[in-house]
Amino acid sequence: MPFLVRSSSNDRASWEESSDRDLMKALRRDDEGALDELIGRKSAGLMGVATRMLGDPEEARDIVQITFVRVWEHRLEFRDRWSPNTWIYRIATNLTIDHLRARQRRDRAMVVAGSTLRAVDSERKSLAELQQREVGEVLLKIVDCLSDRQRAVFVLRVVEGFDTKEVAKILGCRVSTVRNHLFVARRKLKRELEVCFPEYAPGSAAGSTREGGSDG
Amino acid sequence: MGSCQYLAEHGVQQLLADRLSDPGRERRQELVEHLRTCLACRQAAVEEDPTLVFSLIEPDPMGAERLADIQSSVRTLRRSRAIDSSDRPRSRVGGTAALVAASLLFVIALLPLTGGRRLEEQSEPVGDLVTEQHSLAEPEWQRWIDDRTAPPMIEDLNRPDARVYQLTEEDLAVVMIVDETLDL
Repeated sequence: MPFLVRSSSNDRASWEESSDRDLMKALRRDDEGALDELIGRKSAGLMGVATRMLGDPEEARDIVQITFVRVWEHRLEFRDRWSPNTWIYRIATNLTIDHLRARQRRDRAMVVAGSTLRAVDSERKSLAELQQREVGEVLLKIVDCLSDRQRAVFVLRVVEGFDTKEVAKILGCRVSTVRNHLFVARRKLKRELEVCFPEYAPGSAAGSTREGGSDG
Repeated sequence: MGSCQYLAEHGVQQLLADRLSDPGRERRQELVEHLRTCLACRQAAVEEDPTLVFSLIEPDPMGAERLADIQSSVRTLRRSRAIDSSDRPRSRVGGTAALVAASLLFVIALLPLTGGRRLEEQSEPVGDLVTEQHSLAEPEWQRWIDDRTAPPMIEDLNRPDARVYQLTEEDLAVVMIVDETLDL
C-alpha cells in the first residue's frame, strides 16, 4: 500500500493517484497529507452545495472548513463500507442545514432579490441565454422559498448532479422522499421564478422573442 | 426552434425523469453538456421546465490560492480545537476542586450559626457523663429557683392575715406562707 510510507504533506502529488477510500484509511493513521488531498478534491463541490444552499460564499467557506475539521475529528468513526464522498457531503449538508436553521435571512434575501430583478430586467435576456454566473445568482435569490431539506435535495440532485440514491444516503432518507422533495422544490421554484423574475417565465416576451439557433 | 435534433432524439424528459426514473450520472452529464452548448435545445428545455437551467451551473473552479487558504484554515482550526479539548479536562478538574473548596468553606462558615449547635447535640455525652453534665447545670437551676420562687423573708410579712407555717427537721426545712396578696 503506497500510503503506508507517506506521512508528510510535502509529497501531496503522490496522493493524487489514491482513491478516496485510501485517503480515509490514511486519515485514520493521522496522516495530515491525506486530509489536504481530500480538501483539494472535495472543496469545490462542497463550496458549490453550501453556496447554493446558503446564498453566501463566505458562510459557505466556513461550512467547508468546519466540514473538514469534522472529517478529521471523526475519522476513526468512518467505516469501510461507507462511501467517503457520501460521508463528507453528509457532514457538509447537515452543517449547512443546521446553519440555515440557525439564521433567518429570508427577509434580507428578498430585498436583494428586488434589486437583482431590476438589474437583470434591464438586460432583456431569456433564462436560457443567461451566463452561468447569472443563472447562479437567480437561483440564490429564489432558493429561499424552499425548506432546508427541499433546498438540499434540489442543490445536490439538480445542481451538483448526484444520483437520487446518493442524495438519499447523504440526507439519510428514502429515495421516495428525495423524489417527493424534488418534485415540490421544482414546483416552488417555478412559482418563485414567475414572481421574482417574470421575464424568465415560460412564454414571457423575453423568452418567446429569443428563439434562435444553436450557439454550440 | 433550431435544427438540432438532440432533444428530439433523447428527449428533455430524461432530465425531468427524476419523477419516474433516474437517467444515471453519466447519461445525465452528457445531456447537461449538450444543453450548455446548444442554445436551441437549452431554450426548448427551459421552456419545458425553467428549473432545468439550474442543472447547467458548473462548480466554481477552486484556485490554488483559495485551496491553500482553506487547507491552512482547517489546520489552524483543528489545532486550536485540539488544544481546547486537551485543556478542557484540566479545567474541569480545577473547576471541580474549586467547587468542593467553596462548598466546604460555605459549610464551615455556617457552623457557628447552625451547624455548631447540631454538632454539639451530636457530641453530647451519654451514660455516666450525662449525670455529670446535669450536676454541672444544677447551680443554674438552683439560682433560677432562688430568684423566682424563693419564699420571701418572714420578716417582711407585715400583713396581719398572713400565716406562716414552718416545719424544721434535721435535714429538711419546709416553709409555708399563706398570703393571698403575695405576688409570686
